[in-house]
Amino acid sequence: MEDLIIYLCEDTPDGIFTAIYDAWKSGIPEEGISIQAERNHAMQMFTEYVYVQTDLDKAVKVAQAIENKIGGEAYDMVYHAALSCETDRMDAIYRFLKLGFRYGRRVTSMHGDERVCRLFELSRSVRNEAHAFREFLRFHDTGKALIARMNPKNQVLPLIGWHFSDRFPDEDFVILDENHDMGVFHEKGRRWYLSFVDRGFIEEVFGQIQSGRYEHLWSRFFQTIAIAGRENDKCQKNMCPLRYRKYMVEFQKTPVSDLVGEIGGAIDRGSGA
Amino acid sequence: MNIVNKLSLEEKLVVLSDAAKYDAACTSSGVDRKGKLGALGNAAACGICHSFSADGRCISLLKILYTNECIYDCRYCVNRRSNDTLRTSFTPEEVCRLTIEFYRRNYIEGLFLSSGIRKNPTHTMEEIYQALYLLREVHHFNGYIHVKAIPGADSEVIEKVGFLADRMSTNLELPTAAGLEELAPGKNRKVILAPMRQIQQGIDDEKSNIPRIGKAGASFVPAGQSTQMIVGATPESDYQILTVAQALYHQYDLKRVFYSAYVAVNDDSKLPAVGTKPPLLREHRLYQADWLLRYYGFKAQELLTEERPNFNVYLDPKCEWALRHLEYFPVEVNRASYEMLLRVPGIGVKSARRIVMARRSSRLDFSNLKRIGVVLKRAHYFITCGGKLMYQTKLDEDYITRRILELDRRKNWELEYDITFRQLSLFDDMHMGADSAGTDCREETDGRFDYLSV
Repeated sequence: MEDLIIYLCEDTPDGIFTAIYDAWKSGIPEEGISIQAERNHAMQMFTEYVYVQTDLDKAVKVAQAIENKIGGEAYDMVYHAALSCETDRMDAIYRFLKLGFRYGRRVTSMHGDERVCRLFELSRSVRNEAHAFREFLRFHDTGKALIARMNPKNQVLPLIGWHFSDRFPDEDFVILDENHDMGVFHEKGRRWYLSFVDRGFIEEVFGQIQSGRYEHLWSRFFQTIAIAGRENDKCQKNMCPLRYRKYMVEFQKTPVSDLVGEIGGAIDRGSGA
Repeated sequence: MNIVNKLSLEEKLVVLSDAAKYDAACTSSGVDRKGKLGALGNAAACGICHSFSADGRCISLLKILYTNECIYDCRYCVNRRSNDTLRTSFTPEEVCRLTIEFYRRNYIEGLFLSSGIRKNPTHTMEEIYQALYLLREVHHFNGYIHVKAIPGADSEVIEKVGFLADRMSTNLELPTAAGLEELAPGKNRKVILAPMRQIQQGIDDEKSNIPRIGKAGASFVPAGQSTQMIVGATPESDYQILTVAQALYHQYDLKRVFYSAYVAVNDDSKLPAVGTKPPLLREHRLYQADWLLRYYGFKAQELLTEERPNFNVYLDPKCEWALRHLEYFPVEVNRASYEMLLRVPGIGVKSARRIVMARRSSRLDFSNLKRIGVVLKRAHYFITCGGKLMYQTKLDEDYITRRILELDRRKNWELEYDITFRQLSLFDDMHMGADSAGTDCREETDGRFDYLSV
């Protein structure tokens, strides 16, 4: 049996694309090659390792080749899959691209092929998670900037960055990903950028943030809008899974003030006027 | 009327969102708008949910009434004049502040402003206009706004509002004019349809580039209009309701018709008693049928007739149709037309499209169909792959009906008893995107909508 050759690369789209470039150039048949993330890799026996040095030129070449030969749709899928947290993501991309360079644009409609399906799956789950954070991310207003934190499984931050900078062009905002130690930074009227951040920094920033007036108002709205007697915990969990709720203000445990008493008081004051 | 205006913002928010919670629509879809420098917000055609309340419904918009004061005494309405409840109103500034501060924190996609009628319809519409003007023109809010058109309001003010809102809706209230007359003294069908026609006309004019009074570049109700009707307060049949909906889609170009299972909130001799269970399962079937009208090429008259005016609530309408037309089945997946694939229970719009694409490059078998997203446990009775059925089954109405009822029993039970699944149906705006041609976010979301591809 031939030994397996494993390319170990940096866990970023650029790192992955560089590894694909190197693996491709090696001319070794696909069965003999695997690409894996350098971080947390457990070494195996009977395996040859190649350490990939991330090279922007190579990465760009791969990206362009995909765009030109397989198309923009395929590129998007590959890019999304590259942000996935699944350990087979790099191999899945590599095998999909082998197929793609053979069949061209047609490959994206080959729903019957295992390799195409796997790539779709990876890409879909990244996009789904990105979408969930577009829905469920919550900003706090510190008076200086809007700031949010998130705990995604996949590296969805770049996808989120686009969305919020289009939405809040006039705001200074920061989004911090505590699982990947990354942040999106946006300054009013400028282009946003992505940067690595220190975990301690995230905790420090959020240690100082306190829930304010609008957080409270929102929680009240959230409680009021539900129709009593029609509670449906299962459906709610289905649509908004627990792991997303960690930083959603409306799901934080705060003592709920006595609504009846308050409104009662209001009526008293009102009728006295 | 117990009118209190000295409430805090929080107290007003509680009263006026509580009064708005029975409204069915909370979608933010139908319009794509990029952000722009100097403004706050954008809009995504697929719509975005931001939270899910304890009843499982999506929260996309800040859904509030401007005021819950009302001159009308509609028997089914929680805000009817004769109810002794606390009444209050927002000011335009308050609506504005809440919308903007919630939006900046990513709690909402925008505002859904409805209202009771204070003084008279024109006056109320004018107040709503003030709030929208402040939001759009003074604070440059560029997010989503859905607002009610108030029947009986001056057409000029409705027009002005139309240039600031993304979507407008006029509530039909009840499916037929007779029902309306019975339960809503002071309202009539003609008055309700007038603004609907006006808005449709406005949208049409814009499409044909007829110059209008609006600001240069302003778009008139770009996300279209919708309506809702209450189901179960009056004795109309499903057939009547669906025919009305079909007519609204055809004659008024509505984007959506919402169905709202009547919640017995008022003690009234002409209505189901307080505590009567809302007909949720029936509402659900109507949503499914509505879906079939809009995306699957069905006509109301195919699904129901004068002789068979109501759905079997235990079967979804597409299945019911297929079971009554077994002569069309089984269909060969590798050859059937797209239109026919759409009529197969268990194949939705997306899987039908994928089948048509995928079969160009290879013959499809059942395992391919499964990966494509076909719900085989439902579909397998009705299709063949390469001339073969998946299992040895017979094409017999009673047999298949029994099997499918077995599959659905649990789901139906949930629908009928503890759950409101209505919100799922509401997503469809965000889902099928007839108006948003591109990929759309919600639909991609891991088959949470599987059941919709009936």
